[in-house]
Amino acid sequence: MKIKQLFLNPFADFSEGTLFLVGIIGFLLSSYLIYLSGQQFNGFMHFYKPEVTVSFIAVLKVHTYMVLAPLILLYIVGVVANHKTRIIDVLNVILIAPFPLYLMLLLSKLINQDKFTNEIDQALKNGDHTLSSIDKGQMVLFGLFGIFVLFLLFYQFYLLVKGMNIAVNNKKIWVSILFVALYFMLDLGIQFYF
Amino acid sequence: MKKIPVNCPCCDAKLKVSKLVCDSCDTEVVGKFTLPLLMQLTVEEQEFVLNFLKYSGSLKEMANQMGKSYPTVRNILDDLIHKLNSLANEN
Repeated sequence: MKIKQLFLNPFADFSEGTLFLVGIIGFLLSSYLIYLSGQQFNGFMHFYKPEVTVSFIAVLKVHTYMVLAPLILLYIVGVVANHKTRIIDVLNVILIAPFPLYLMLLLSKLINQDKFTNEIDQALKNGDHTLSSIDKGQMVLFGLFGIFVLFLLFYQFYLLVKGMNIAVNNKKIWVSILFVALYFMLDLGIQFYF
Repeated sequence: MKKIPVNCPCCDAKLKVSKLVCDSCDTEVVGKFTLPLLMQLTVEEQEFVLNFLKYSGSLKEMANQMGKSYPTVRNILDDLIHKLNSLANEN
């Protein structure tokens, strides 16, 4: 029962302490994974590979901004919608909602997506526009991975909405859409600063 | 124990009590009595109110006992307060 709820709506059943602990562990592990892959955050939902090597502290620092920015925005909206909204509940949503993204990051490293992307780049540079030099099995694997990534992105927003609805006691669809829109717009805007 | 129906099974309007019977002498009182506010809640909602009293209003303790998160329990309480206010206004 709890396992099903864990995926459908972890914010309904688990205490704020448990959610916070899991969220912080996910935050640290994902920062470390980003650091290991030589990448850096430049939004809540995307990363880039800087020219210079980035330290773990630098990754942690930017990742902290990526948590604080939506936390402040969504907390303010939450308090406006319901003055009883607690910051810990919004923080837990911000920490837990990107878990599907972290899974996507881990999977992309496991199946060596960087190598595949480089191969595609190289093939295109060599004038192979039909990508005939790329292994078909690999193409299918990454095609399926792309579909799974779309599902994970959708799931990330699903968790965001479920969590915010509980934190704010919201039952209106337009407020849920507002949460997603604000999160998405902030993500788009923040990349110009990092 | 039988559940007391709160709403009409045909049109969903609020039901009223029309007869009260004394168990010991069979005296019957007939009239049209409105159910008390708490009786108009569903069984689950009444149980929630009882638990709220039982745990001295500690939502944290209630959340632990119910296996729910604190905001979930607080939301149930807020919805219940809203429902009681609406029922009070209707009455």
